Amino acid sequence: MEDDGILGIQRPGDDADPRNSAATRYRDGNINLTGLWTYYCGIGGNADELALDAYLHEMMELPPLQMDLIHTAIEEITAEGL
Amino acid sequence: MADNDALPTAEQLQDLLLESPGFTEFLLGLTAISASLLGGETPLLCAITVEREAGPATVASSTEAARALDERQYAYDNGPCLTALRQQHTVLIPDLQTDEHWAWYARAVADEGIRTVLAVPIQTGNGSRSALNCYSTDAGTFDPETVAAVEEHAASLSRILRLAMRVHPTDAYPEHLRSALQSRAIVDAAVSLIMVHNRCGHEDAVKLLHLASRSSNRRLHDIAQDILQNASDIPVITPGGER
Repeated sequence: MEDDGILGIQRPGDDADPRNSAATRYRDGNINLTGLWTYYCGIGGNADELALDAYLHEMMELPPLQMDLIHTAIEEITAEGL
Repeated sequence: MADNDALPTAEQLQDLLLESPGFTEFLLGLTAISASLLGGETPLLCAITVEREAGPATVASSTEAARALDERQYAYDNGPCLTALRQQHTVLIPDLQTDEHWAWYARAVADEGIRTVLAVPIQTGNGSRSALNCYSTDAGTFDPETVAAVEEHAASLSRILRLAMRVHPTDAYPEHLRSALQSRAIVDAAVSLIMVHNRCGHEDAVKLLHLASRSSNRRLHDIAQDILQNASDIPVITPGGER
């Protein structure tokens, strides 16, 4: 598994566009938006669902920490096979 | 395979109801009982879906795979179990690979290795609709006797399901929302603890927590729980900074 999340913490946006990998994983992972947002909110995320949707469709930037939390949420959901 | 001994005893069902802390747990136990009673040489995946008048549908599955199969149907808002549930009649797909009517469903679940599906409604009344769904990897599983046995089994669950709905009224929040709320409460508490410990701001505290989860390769929520239980593990800001 890639460790772009850790890179993301240290220098957000330094790696390849983090939105790409988040968006790709979201699409490949067969994850639904509300489920992802709920999980992300559960681990302390603060952006709203609409912002998350826009972010995943690469239409909007979010603060680095929020992007990291979204990555983590996607990873944890995928790992759990929810 | 399944004979008429595929019927659970009333005691068994009542014990399950008495021992289950919530409706979801009860349904989960019920699917496990169904899977073990109905399964023959080829194991059967079982799922039970309950739609109540108020509140969202509850889905419980004997295995993760069965759960994935059920949830796939919700994504499409269609599928054999939803048809059984909404139209209250048995739906049998003897062989997904050759069935024309359900070809789209077969494609959607192709990766699960399932060959045949049987969905049987359970009469639960009071504006609720329920169905028992069985999946098997062996195309010959649901012969007429087995279908009859599954139907009889489903009918035998009717009474205890009605009781369970009385005992466990609809949750104000669906399960996944409640667990997210619980998780959030724990994360927030851990973040507050980190803030107090480091005299740092909220954002830095969340960063520390996130970093701790990343570096230990554990779920953020688990780390937060550890921090609350064992105050000595509170992450600290190292001089020179984490950025």
